[in-house]
Amino acid sequence: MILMSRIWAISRNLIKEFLRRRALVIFYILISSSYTFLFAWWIHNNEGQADEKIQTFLSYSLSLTAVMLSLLTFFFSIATISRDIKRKEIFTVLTKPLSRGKYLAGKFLGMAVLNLVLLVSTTGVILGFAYLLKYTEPQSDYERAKLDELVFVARQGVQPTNLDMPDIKSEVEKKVNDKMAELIRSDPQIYQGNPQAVDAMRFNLTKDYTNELTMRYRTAPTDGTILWHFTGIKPKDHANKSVILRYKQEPYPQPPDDHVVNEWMIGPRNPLDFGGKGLRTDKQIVRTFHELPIPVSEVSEEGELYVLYHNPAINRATIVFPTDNGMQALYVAGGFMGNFIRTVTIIYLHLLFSSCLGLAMGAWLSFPVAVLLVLVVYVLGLCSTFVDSALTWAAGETLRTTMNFILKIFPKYSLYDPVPKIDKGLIVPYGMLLSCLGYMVLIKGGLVSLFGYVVFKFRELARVIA
Amino acid sequence: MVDVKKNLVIETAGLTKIFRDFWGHQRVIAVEDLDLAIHPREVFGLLGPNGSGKSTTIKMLLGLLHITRGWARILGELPGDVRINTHIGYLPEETYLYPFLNARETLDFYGRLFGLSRHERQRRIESLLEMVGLTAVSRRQIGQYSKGMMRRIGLAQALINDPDLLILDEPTSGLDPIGTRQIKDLICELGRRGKTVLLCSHLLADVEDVCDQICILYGGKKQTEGAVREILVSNEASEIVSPLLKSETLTKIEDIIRHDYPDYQLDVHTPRERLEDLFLRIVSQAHAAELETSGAVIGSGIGDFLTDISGETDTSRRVLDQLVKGRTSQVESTAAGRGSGPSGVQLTPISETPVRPDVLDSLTAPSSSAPIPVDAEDEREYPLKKDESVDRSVIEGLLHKHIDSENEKDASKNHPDTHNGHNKT
Repeated sequence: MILMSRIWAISRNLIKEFLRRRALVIFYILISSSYTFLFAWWIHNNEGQADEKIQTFLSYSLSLTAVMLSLLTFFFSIATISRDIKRKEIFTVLTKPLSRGKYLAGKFLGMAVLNLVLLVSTTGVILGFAYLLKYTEPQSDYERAKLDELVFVARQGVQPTNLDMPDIKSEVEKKVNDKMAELIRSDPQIYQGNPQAVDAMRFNLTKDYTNELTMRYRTAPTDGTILWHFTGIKPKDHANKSVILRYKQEPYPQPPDDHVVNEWMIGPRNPLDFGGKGLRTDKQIVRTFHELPIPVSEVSEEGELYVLYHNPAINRATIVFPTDNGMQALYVAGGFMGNFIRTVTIIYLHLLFSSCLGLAMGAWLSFPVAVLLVLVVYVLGLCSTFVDSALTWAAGETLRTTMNFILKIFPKYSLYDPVPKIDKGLIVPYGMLLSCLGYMVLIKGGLVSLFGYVVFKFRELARVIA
Repeated sequence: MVDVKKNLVIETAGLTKIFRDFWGHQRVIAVEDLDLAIHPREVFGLLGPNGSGKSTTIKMLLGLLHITRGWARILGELPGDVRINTHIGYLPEETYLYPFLNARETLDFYGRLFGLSRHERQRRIESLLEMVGLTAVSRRQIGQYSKGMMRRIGLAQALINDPDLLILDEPTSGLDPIGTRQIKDLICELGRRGKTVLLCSHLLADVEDVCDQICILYGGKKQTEGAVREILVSNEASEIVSPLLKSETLTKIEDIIRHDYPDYQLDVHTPRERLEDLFLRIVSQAHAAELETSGAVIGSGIGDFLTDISGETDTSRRVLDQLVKGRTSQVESTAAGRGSGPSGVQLTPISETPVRPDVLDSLTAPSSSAPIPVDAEDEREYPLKKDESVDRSVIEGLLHKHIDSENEKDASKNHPDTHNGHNKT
C-alpha cells in the first residue's frame, strides 16, 4: 500500500507538472480542438457524399490525434526525467525511500494516466463531431442508410482465394533460375564470384515473379472470367441483410471515359457447376473502391461464397484486381461504438509504448539527443511497411537479415494502425488489439523499459551527461 | 532509531572519488582517502573551500555518485540503500525542488514519498511551514520564491520525515541573517534532541557556532579533524568582556597585568555591536510591529513532531523560542544600556553564551567575593555551547584583586563616572 502510494506520488507529480506547464496544456488544447473543429467545419462546407465526408473526417482527425499525442508523449516523457536530472530535483527525490525502479514506474504510471485523460477527451470530441455530422450531413434517407451500412458499422473483411490459381512456387523458381543464368551470362563481372549480388538478385526476382504470377490469376482478359472463393463469412451472427463485395479495378488499356461495366454470378456453390444469381453493374469508375451488396441468402451455412467475375467484351480492356484489397467480402460483425473503443485502445497502446521509449531514453540521454533518437524510431515505426519493402532491395542476405533483425526491435505503428479500418467501417479486430498489446507494449515496451531501468539504476545521477 | 553498527552513524575508510571523462581518462580526484567517523547525536561539520570535495563526499554517502575506491557505511548500511533513506533528511547545496509546486504541495509530495498518512502529513506540513516562516506564502509556487525562501522550504522538506540523520549541504547559503541564525539555532536544537547532523559548509562562522566536530578538507583530502572546542582554543591570550569600566578601574587592571606580564602588549578597546545583532534587532522590531512583507517571516520554534528528548518537549520549544527572542532582547538591552550606563561588570568566556546581568553584577558588587555559579537549570535555559577551555582563573583573580583594592580604599558604592558601551580588554 505504502509502495503504491510512493509510486502514485511520482505519478501525481508528473500530472501536476504537465498541468502547470500552461504553455503545453494550451498548445495541446488549441491544436487538438482546432484541427478537430476545422476538419468538421471543412467537411460540412464541402460537396460530396455524407459517408465519404465522415470517413475523411474520422481518418484525418484520428490519425492526427495519434500523431499529436505520440509526439507529446515523447517530448514530455523525455523532459520529465531529463529535467529532473539536469535540474537536480532528482537529488531530493531519490534520497527518499524510493528506489529508482519505482521512480520510473511512477513516471510511467503518470504518463499512462495523463495519456488516458488526453486521449479520451480528444477522441470524445471527435466522436461527438462524427455523430453530429451523421445527423447533419445526409441529404436523403438513402445517404443516411448508406452511412449506417458503410461508416457507422464494424464490418469484417474476408479475402478470397482464386480457384483457378495453381501452386506457382515451382513456376516461380524455374523462371528465377532461367533469369539468373541469363544475367550471369550477360554480366559475368557483376555476378561471378560475388555470391552477395547473386543472392540479392535472386531474392528480388523471386518477389517480382511471385507478384507477376499472382497478378496473372487476378486478371480477367476481355470476355474472360475469374472465380473467387470466400470462406469464413458469418453474416447471420449479426443479422446482416446483405454481404458487401468490395473491390477495386485497374483496366489495361485505360478506357476513354475511365469507366467499365462488370458482370457477376454469385452463389453458395460454384456457379460454373451449379449456376447462380447474375448481377450486372453499369459504368463504374475505375481505380476506386466500389461496394456491391449481395443478399445474405447467397452465403452457405458454412460461410462459403463463390463469385464468378466476367469482364464483358464491351470494356475492351483487361481488368486487374490489385493485390492490396482489390477484392474482398464484407459483412457486419459488430457495432461502430465497439469498433471506436478498440481503435482508441490501440492508439492508447501506441502511446504506452511511446511512454516506455521516451522514459527509457530520458533516463539515459540528454533531452535533445533522446528526442532525436525517439523521432527516428517513431518515423521508422510509422513507415515500417515501406521500410520492410525497401529492405527487400537491400543487397546481400547478411545485410538484409541483420537489418530485419534490427527493425524487429523498432515499433511497427503502421502494422497496428486501426484508423484505415474504422474510417471505412471495417472491424478493428481483437486480434490486432491483442497483438499490439503483447508484441508492441509487453514485449517491445518491456524490453525498452528494462533497458532504461538498467541504465538508470547504475548511472551516476549527480553527474549530468551533456 | 536505526541500530548502527559500531555506534557510528557515518563511517568511511579510504573513500575516494575520481571523475573520469567519456573515454575513461582520469580527470579530477575529487575526494581522496577520506576516513570519517560520525557518532550519533554529533553535529559534524565538513569544512573546506569550494571544490574541496565536501558535496562529492555527501553525494557518495547518499548513493548519488559511485565510490571509486574505499568504502562507506551510513546508518550501518551501504550508500544508496533505499531502506536507510527513511531515516535521512537531505538538503542539497542548492534547493532542487519542483518549481511548479507550492510549498504545501512540495511538503505533501515528500511526505507521500515517506509513506506518511494524510493526517500526519497535514500536521507536519503545518508545523514545518510555521517553523520556517512560510505559512503566509505557502500557496505560492516555489519557482516564484526568493533564494532564501527556497532554502527554507528545502530545509522543511529535509525534516518532513523527522530524520535521525540530517545532511545539510551549505544550509545557510542564500539566507538572510535571521534565516541563518534560525537555521543555526535549529541545528543546535536538533543536535540536542538526539539527531545526528552532517553539516557541509565553507561559511566558517556557521560551522563554528553549531558543530561539535569538524573535518577540514582541501583538494579532496582531509587536512584536520577534531572537536571544535579543542581545535579553536588559543593558549596565547585571554579576553575579558565587561561593561564600561571607570578609567581608574581600567588603570588598575592594566597595572596588575603589566606587573604580572611586563612583556605583554595590552590591547584595550571598546567593542562594537555586531552587524548581525543590529540587523536582527531591526528586523525583529519590524516583525513585532507587524509590518507587511511578501517574503518569509520569522519562523517560530521547531516542528513539534521532530523527535524529542523524553519529557522535554515544552521546555525545548520554550528554550528555542527564547533563544531567538532572548538574543534580540539582549541586543536591545545592550543598546539601551548606552544611555543608562553599566549596571555592573560582565565576564563572558569567548563564546556566544548569553550574558547574564545578575551574575555579572554580582562580580563587581562589593558584597560579592566570587562569581555566582551557573546552576543546572540555567544551563538548560542557554543551550549554546560554553567554551569550557577558557581559563577563568585570570579573570577571577583580577576581579578579586580589584574588589579587595576597592574595599581597602572604602570606595563609594555608587559609580559617578560612566561611559556608554563596554570595555574589552
